[in-house]
Amino acid sequence: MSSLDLQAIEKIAKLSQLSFTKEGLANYQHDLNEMLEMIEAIKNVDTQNIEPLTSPHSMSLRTRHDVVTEIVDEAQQGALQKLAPEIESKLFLVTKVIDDHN
Amino acid sequence: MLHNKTIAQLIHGLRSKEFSSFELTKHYLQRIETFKNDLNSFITITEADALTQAKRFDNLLAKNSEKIPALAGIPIAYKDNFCTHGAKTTCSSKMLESFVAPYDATVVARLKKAGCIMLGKTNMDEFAMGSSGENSYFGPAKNPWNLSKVPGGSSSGSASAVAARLTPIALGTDTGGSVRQPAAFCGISGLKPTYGLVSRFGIAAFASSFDQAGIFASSAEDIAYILPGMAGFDEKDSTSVSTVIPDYTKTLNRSLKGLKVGISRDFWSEKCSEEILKLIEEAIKELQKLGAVMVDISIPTANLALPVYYVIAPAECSSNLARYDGVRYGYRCSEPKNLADLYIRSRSEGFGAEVKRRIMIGTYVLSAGYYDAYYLQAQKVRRLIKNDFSAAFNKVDVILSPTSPTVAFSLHEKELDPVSMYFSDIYTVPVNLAGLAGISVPIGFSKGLPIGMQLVGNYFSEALLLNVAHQYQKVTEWHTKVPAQFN
Amino acid sequence: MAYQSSSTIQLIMKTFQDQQHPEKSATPIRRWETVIGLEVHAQLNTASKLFSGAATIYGREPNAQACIIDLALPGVLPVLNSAAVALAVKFGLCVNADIAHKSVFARKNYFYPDLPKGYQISQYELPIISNGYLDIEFEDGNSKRVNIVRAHLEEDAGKLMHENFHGMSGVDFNRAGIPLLEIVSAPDMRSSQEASLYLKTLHSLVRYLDVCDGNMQEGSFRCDINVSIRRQGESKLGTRTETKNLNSFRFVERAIECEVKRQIEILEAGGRVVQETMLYDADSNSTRPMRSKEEALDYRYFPDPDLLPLVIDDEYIQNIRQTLPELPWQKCRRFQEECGLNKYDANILSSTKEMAEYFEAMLQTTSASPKLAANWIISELLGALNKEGVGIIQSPISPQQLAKLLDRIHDQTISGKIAKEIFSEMFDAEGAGDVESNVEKPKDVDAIIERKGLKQISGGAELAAVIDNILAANPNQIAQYKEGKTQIFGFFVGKVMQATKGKANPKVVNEMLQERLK
Repeated sequence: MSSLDLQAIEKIAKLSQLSFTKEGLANYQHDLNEMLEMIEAIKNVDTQNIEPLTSPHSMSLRTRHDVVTEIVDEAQQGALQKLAPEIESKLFLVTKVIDDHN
Repeated sequence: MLHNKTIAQLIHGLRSKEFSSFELTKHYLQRIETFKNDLNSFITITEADALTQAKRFDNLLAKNSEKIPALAGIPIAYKDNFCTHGAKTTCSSKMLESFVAPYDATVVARLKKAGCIMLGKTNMDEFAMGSSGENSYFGPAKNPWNLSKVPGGSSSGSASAVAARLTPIALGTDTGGSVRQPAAFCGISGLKPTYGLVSRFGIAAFASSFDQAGIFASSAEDIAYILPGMAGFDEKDSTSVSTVIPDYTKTLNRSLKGLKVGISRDFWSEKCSEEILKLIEEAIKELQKLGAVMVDISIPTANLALPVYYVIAPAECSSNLARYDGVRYGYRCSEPKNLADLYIRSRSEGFGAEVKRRIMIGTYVLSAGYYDAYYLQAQKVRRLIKNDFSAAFNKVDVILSPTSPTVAFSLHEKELDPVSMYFSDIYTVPVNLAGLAGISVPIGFSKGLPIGMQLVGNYFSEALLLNVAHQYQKVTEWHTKVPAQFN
Repeated sequence: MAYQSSSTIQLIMKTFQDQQHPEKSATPIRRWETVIGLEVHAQLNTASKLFSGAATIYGREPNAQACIIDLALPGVLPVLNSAAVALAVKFGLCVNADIAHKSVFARKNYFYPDLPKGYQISQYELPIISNGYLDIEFEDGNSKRVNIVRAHLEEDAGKLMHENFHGMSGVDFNRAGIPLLEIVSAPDMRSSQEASLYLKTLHSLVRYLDVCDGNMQEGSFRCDINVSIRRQGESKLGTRTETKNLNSFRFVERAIECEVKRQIEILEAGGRVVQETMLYDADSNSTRPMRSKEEALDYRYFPDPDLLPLVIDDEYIQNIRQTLPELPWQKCRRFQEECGLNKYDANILSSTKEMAEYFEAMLQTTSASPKLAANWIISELLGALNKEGVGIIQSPISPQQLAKLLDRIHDQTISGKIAKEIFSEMFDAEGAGDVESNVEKPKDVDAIIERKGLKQISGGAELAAVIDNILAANPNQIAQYKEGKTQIFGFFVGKVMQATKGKANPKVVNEMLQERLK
């Protein structure tokens, strides 16, 4: 029976981009371990040669024609930018990114 | 009274000018206003737009125009995870507290075109995660049958609103039972269509391979009028299925003679309350009187459904909710110190506890070293469950069970024990895992609280489910009951 | 675009030269062997994005082609672009790869401001293309097979703008969702030159196929390099580093060289190479570790539940196969076999689509030999273009105009020497390339010949008078010639050319002189 320690919870929180107070972390540890205990039941099921099921229907993917259908005109762009926490020069602003990813 | 009419009566009444669309709309808006504080079932009320549209239909009706759409003037409410152009779509989350979508969900657009008039957006568990409606940033919606009880969830406000006749129709979404369970708790009818029948485009995703929009109404017959207006292939949704949408009202009156109904008493008995089992047996007798034949079946993997669901749904949710990061829209924390702070605080402050729990468990089951044991294994067991249902549907036409193992529980009763609340969906979750169709209809009361029966059908068997439910409702009166306070 | 093509030509020529002197570019420390694998992101030539109907035009105003799907608003869903699939299959067929009958789109989960959904839709376990190869050919005729492990479809991210917006960064999502084909090679390359040659071959191929416009400046063709070193003779791979997002051939070569040098220094000093992501800094020509986004990335790949498996049947593949154009190496072989070109010339003329098109357009109209056409493109035209720093598609002389010039050499209207003069005039002339529409016809060969009176003198009578005059004026030289000093023949030819300002037909002059000096 696997059980998550606080360190593991912290790691998951980090991957999820979430943070908790110390107390909150302990509560989550309790709840997540209870969920895991409930989930545990699937571990003993014999699934040899069983294909995983990712979607209820066994259809194949439909594709669309390569046509521009989404026109972002000024009105639409304005509507979209109105939703943003911060915009400047039509760019979505975020806290300075000190990174060389791009 | 206007709010006790069926959809068929409303359509007829509008066309015969018995009442105007404006009167009808105004009537419901007034009821919403009157009971707003008691029920907390609406987050947004779109009064001005609704009345404008009603006047427009009245003009059309006055001219006896050919162009009057099928559902012209029928009031409707949408769960607040359906994107509605120009009206707030909050998902009951601080994250989207002031989010206004510049587009309509496909179902909203279709029903608008079909003539439905939106009254407002209903309360829900945050991002559709919950079985009580208590996980709402805007406070819980209440059960009209007993205001100290939950209406069920996650489509809490929609169920509450229809039960209190604040709207004849409301839409919800059903990922693990979020239409059927609150329908049962509130004593109304609730349909979860086959996965792929109704477009998911424009509905904020919780778990993409389960989510399906459903309908709340007081009867199966009412549902049959609405479903064609929203169902059918949508090129914007890659999981949408191309299938012919029949006129569901045409088959409502088929005889149930010889209908094979599968029952699996072993599976229910363990967790289900006695009072519910008793009423289920009575409902079975009614169906038998109508000519249906009960067949014992077994879904051996059904007891694995909940664990499988709580691996896959959170996994999908953890990824689906990654877009809420405070960059392009939605809540952003104040004065972020750096990028990490912006992300972490916006998300930690913007999401409620249950959403964070599911994101956490979902992240965990997908993470390196655990993927195979949890996520992949769950997907395999999911196939076994689907296979079990397929085998069962070789023998029977529909499968009958309780909708939920208990009646509506008290507010705050399960707040501190999230996992125990998960068991509320034990009979509904298997249906979503397999992607089947299911409906919940009221079959009686226990201590003043409604009880629901679930009928599950094979893929795209909505016509049959509505037919069976309607035949049952023709010989029973449970669906006509309205809580005294709201009648 | 212009810069692109010309630098491609220059680099190809440079590589040929390098290959002729391999010892000059070999790793200085010979006990280490370099192992290189490349991951190339080629932007697919589609009108709309991979999963949305937004446009893919480069250089639009920020966020002017970021639609609700690209911005990942609540409830939006992806629908796959069929053209992207077709282009991927087209590429796969040309590298002799397996085309997956079933491939799966997966979500790669990580947080970054340029990634709207918090995940990238990519392909992980079941890519659309696998097990292909590309043969790269060195100038000396040797070739090497580089295996292509896989190529998969994925969507691009947005672009972070690091200009300082009062302490903030800006994000432009125009690029978000643009279709990419990520082409992953095996670690088969052993030097920066090999890597660069593979990259150029690949670049040429995707442009031939119209799979990708290959514009590296605009980021349409970018490369990540995986570099490790190991002791000569060792079979186990060393620890590799990844250097990301290089957008020129030169940077790729330099980054590899820097990284090899850095790794050798570490290992020689008894240290250990750390598996990490590096950044190449072109200004200092060095590689350094990137400040990592998250220490250990865990992408939590899983099949995207919004997208079903992509199924491709044999008929579909067959249909695409029928649309395949002639490939660069096929063209190169044909140029040698049918046009009688040598390998060097054939290589250059098939190195880019534009080059081959230029050459073939000339062949269609000129009656001169393909060999002459090849010589003129390679030595005159490319020389002049390189001097100007422009590519062949921006050549001021059209293939038809150049063909006409060669025709005039061929029909002996002008000599080769005069032709070069005319070429310079055409090259420098202002005005439209369109001969017919220009009154002054500044680029029309015949008009120039006419205007400047450059027509070759082949007429016997006119030349006879000139030759007779020259012979009469130089009796000493005639005597020397007759004594057997035959090399003096050239002196007479020179005199004739001088007298005719180069317009005399050298062949006729030769004949007439020989006749008279008998």
